[in-house]
Amino acid sequence: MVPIAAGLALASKMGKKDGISLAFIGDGTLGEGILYETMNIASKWNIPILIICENNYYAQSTKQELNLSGDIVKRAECFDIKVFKSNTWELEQLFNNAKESINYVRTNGKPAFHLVDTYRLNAHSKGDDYRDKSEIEMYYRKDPLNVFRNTNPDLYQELLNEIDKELDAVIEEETEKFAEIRIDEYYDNPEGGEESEYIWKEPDEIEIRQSDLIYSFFKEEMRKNEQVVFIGEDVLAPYGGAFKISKDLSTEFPERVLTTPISEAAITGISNGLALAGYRPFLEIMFGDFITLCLDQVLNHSVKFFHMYNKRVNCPIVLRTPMGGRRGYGPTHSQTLDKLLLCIDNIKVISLNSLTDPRPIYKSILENEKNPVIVIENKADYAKKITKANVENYKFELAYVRNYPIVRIRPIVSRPTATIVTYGGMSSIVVDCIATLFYEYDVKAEVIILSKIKPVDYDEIIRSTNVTGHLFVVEEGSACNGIGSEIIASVLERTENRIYARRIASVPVPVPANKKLEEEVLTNRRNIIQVIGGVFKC
Amino acid sequence: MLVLQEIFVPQESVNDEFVRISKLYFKSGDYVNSGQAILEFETSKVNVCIDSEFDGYIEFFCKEGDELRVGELICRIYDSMPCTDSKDNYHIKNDTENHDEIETIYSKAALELIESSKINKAVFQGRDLVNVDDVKNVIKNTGHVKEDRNLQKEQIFDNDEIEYKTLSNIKRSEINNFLDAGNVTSTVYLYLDVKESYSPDNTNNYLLSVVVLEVFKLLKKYPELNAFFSGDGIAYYKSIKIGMAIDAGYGLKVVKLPDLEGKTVSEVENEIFRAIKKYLRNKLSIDDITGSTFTISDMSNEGVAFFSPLVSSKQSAVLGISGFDEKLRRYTVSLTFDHRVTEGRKATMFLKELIESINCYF
Repeated sequence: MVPIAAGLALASKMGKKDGISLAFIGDGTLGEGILYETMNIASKWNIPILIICENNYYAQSTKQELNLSGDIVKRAECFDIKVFKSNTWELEQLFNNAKESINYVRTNGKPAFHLVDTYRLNAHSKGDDYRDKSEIEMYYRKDPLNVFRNTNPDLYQELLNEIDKELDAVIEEETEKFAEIRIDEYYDNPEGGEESEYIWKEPDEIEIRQSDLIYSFFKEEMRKNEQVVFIGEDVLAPYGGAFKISKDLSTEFPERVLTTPISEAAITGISNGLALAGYRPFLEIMFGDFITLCLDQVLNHSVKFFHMYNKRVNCPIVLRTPMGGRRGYGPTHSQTLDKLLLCIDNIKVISLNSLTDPRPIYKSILENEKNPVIVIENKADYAKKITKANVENYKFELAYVRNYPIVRIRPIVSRPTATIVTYGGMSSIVVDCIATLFYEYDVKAEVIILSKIKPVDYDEIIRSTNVTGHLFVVEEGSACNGIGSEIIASVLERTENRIYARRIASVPVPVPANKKLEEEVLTNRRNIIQVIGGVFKC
Repeated sequence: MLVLQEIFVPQESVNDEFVRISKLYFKSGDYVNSGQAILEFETSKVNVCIDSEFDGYIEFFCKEGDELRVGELICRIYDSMPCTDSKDNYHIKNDTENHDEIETIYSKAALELIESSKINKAVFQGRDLVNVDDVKNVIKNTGHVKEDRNLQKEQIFDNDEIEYKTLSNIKRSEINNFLDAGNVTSTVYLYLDVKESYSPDNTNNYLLSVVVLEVFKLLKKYPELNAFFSGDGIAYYKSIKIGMAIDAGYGLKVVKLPDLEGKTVSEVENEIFRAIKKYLRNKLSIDDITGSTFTISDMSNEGVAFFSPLVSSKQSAVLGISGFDEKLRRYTVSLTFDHRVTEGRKATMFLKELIESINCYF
């Protein structure tokens, strides 16, 4: 939560407001890496956040001496963050420091760290207290609230009643409003609602590189919309991002193009905070392989705020990241990890391809999405020009379904005999198979290219599969528990027809750097043709 | 919604490029029964009537008076009512567009079949992609009509597969009497009783396998049931190839089983299983569905009380197995035969002998 608090504070700063964030942590949190990522960024960017560390010497049940090395104060000081020290037994100093630290953060626009020594009088949760009884007893007697209760019992009771009354009123109000909430009020099925009509059109020829189109989307939208923020590693001009998406954006929008340390977890959290505050952060994760470092923030926070806070807040964070191989980048920079994202509830996952203009996709995300979206770009597609699929006697069409494009390539007249569903970097490779599949194997393919891969819009896939009776899903990741499994299962649930289905996916092994071997490991033209052709060969 | 049958304009004569649709007996959305006449068209010489091969809902892509090119789609028959909204039948909509400017692309195998069958490529004009199935369709559509008309004139000679015997004058005049009556087939029925312990639910294809195997053995004794009538004689097959009628949603197909000589029941069971699998995966080759010499139609799973299947072309008999009668604990087995080739007494003998040998298994 600390990076989220930092994000909210950053939003306040960017909006020239004087709000600051207060993040309360325990000494147990000092074991989390994201805290240090955030302190580093907060100090570097002068984010007005006050981190209050309640140091009670125990992390759940474990004594601090078993968990903590060095000095807590030095941990903050090494980031050049001012530290205030107090404890809960000397109240005057505590109150003074609280006031002073808040003023410091607000007037200087800088982070501060307030270390408050204290002691927990009760168990961490319920009956899990194994601490020394005499130690607890000693602190119990010393505790200022207990001391106050013993010396001024009447006043104590009066104040306690007031506080209880106030809390009861709040709880009652909320209960009245929301206790009877129904499941259909709580859960909006993203696949439900009005089904949009499929209007198939032949798209225009664009002939511009995909990376330039993504760049031009940001250039245009950042001019129009001051809430759009571009965040990522190495994104400043002249370098302009590892894949040159941000190019010179930082020159025109120095306040809203934020280059970050190598701290994927913290920058995801900070983006969460910005999104909660009404900004539209577009976070670039340099390689899709690093998305795992963001997952805690996405899985445990981004996707939950809306429901956790009773639909009164939205967190429209957008993560963009390139996945895929074929550039010889080896095992740690070539993976297709979309399957990890597809299993997250309450998220949309979009995958760009080289047949579809990415600008309307991003525009739709900006205009329509109120909850988290992850966009997978494919590094092999960046340099490709967005083109039509030119396959002789096949028709290339595009329809917008629930705001996102689906591409369809089908025989002009003939009834197709095989449905091939694909997305992302595999799209152009599959298109490249169509003519051979027909000439060599008699297969009249109907190819459906998705851009929104979670949730998938199934109508068109089912319509086509019911016609052909054959469904193939081609993916660049490995097959186990991937999108192929999901699509095939979902289609089978929704049709009464007998369907022959196959997944075509990569070998489940780390992607090798050896170019020739990499080509063998990743789903490629040859094995697509072999598998589909093999099914149809009598 | 499955397409059961697609009807294209057949090539009726070498000279005709176009035909005129003279009569549609149904309108789109109507239910048609197998064997019913669907439409008529005129070529420069004759009127041709086309029948439905399936029960289903029809959709026309032309109207009366339309001039259609040879090879063009006339209608489709579906297993359920075709939807009229654009989402489900966008292809159909597009099919009616004019695609004459398209340069047809042929698959490698289609080209080979066109070459070997000596088909005029012009029949495919307006098509985008032509694969082997498209070529087979044309062969089927054009060949089918020709076969009916020319059957009587077809000259059959002895070859590796067939031994041909011309009929005596007496037999020939007898046949002419049948023909005048308009019917050449007849059916005999017998019951196959089974023991108390037998349950049709747990047998899979065991019963069918036994029947197939015993028919195979018995046909050696009854060569006239492994033959067909042609011209003025009977063609006897030299080998026995059992065809199994399957209809599980992808259209009725008679799948030829391999040579069963020396096979055990469980081996036959495997062959049947393999054939059904091939059917369900739509992987039947033209060889799989041609060349059978005797057909068995097993409707025992369909709860049919009794039925008599039609005799396939170039065969003289077909065996039908009806549904199991729980009360009377029996199946009805039928043999429909071509009266020009054999007669009721022989057919009954065959059926009796067959049932005796099947009884040994149960």
